[in-house]
Amino acid sequence: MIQNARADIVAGLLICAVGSIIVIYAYGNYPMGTLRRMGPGMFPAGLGAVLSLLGMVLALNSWRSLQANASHDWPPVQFELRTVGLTVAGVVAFAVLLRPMGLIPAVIAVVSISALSDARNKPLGIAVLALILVVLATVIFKFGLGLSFSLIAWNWS
Amino acid sequence: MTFFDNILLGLETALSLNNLMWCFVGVFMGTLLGVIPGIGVLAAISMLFPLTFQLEPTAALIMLAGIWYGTTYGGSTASILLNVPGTPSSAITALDGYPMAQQGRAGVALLMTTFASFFGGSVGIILLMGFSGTISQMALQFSSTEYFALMLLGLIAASGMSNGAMIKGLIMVCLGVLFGLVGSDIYSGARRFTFGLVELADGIALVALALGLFGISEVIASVGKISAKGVDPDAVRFKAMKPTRDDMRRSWFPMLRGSAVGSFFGTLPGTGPSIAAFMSYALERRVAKEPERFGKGAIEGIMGPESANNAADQTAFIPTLALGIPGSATMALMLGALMIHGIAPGPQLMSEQPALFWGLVMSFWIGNLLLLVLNIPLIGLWVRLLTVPYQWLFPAVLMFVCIGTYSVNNSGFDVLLVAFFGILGYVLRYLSFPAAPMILGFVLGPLMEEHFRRAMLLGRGDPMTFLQRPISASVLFITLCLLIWGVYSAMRKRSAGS
Repeated sequence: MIQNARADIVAGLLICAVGSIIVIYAYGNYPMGTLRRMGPGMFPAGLGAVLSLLGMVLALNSWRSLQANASHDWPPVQFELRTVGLTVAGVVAFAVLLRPMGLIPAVIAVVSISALSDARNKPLGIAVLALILVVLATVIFKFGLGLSFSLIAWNWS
Repeated sequence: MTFFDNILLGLETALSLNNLMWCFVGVFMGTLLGVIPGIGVLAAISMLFPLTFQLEPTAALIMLAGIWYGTTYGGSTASILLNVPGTPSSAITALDGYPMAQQGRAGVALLMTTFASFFGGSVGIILLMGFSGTISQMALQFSSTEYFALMLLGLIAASGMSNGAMIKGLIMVCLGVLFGLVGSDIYSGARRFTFGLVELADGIALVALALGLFGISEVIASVGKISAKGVDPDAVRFKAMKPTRDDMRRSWFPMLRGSAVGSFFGTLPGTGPSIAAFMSYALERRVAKEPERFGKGAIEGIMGPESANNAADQTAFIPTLALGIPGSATMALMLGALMIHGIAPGPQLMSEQPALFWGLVMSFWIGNLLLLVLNIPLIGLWVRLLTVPYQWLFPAVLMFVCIGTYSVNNSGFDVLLVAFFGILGYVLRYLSFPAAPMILGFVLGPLMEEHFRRAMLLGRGDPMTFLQRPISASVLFITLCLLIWGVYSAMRKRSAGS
């Protein structure tokens, strides 16, 4: 996708921070043990340290190449915030709705919310698509594979 | 038991009606998903993964394997017809396959790739049958020390070989191992990194991680970028498929060379069908008498890579089944499937589960044969599928991802995890971090920790134990060489760039 020195510096620093947090968290919460009898904290702490080191190397490397070569620019690929937001919102809606409301509303939610992320989809098309997929999901998963979820329900508790 | 008894047992298992049916379902679904652009092998396998949970282990593996080589085949179809590779391993096929399609020879190209796939696959299967026994015999003497060394080699090789910077691959491996450690510690039972969530006590579900990283993030990356193209259905009529005598004559040696290249790269950790196909193309171009024909519809340019990627598909099973150490992300998923079914992978698999092992191996052949029989009449259907607009396909893909994930544990939490890994996968993809090494780290991580801790216990807490045993010392030496080579080539690239 993108090969960008500035983005790599940020990523490297983030990874470095994540690694350090893991070391501290593992050290503070889980027994380390000895080298011979390792506790649950030893391996994650070591791994966090390695991760932190790798992140630092990545950031330093990219920083050096940025110094050497000023022509690096921000990525040509756009971060598709709208697509990410709508697709993920669709999946989350499915997760939240399936148990209290059943399969049909959950499928309608994931299909119609995620379909909005492509501008070529029009409301009528989305409705037809949702209808087809509801039938398909019901036939395949409920009647075909006999999975245990209700088609439609109302129990918010 | 002799070799032939084993083959008979395998045939008996693979030809049972139940297994045959799941093999067919796997090959069919794999081809179907492989044809759809934007769904790679990993996304296809993880999408259909949940379905296999209802099956017994042998049938589940047979189906997963069918999905795998079916996807490879479907990917070539999209490559040839649309110049949009369905899967990375068939990207090379587009170089000469698409020009052939433009010359009205799409039918010939599709038929010949089917033969090349079958040929390459068969060579891979024969090697798998011949070598797995010997390797697993050898591996029976391995202790935790050797296993740790081999897994480390596998992880480092995987991070170095994937495209992009090795350091990013290494970071992804580490992150994968960390996600693998979430849940209860096997020695002490302590819950690690669960942050008080009961749902995480058994660890992160492999399905959720794989579907988020590959399913959701691939969908996000392709929304609005792929549009259906018209394909002339006449070009793929049965009559248009007949290869000329010249095509046949040109195809034999590329197929043989491709199978050899593919078999070799399939067994190495970190390489796989994509690299095998690429190497085979480079080789064909070098040995060709008229290299200028390449890129303009040379049949050698599709026969070599297509036999190479299918041979690699099969030989990749050698380390996975004989040692229990997967060399690629796809194989890691296969291994994950085995473990979910409660089967411990490793050298004892062949002796303890002969029906599973030989049944799987023989099913490869039947699956490849099915591919051959299935695809000649079905090419028309795949072509029609390519004309369905992507903006209608992706909501359906997302729906299947959601229902599939939920059905594994009847858990809405897993679906939320899919969303989380989807965002993470897209951000990492955006920053050009390769996602495949993460899956490998995730599956191997817990095993590595277990072997590391056991080796240290047996070695009385002395890390030198890894260097005192000859096999582990030499494996670690190779690992070190790989690391040095990675650093060296990165430095050379930088100095060439500035």
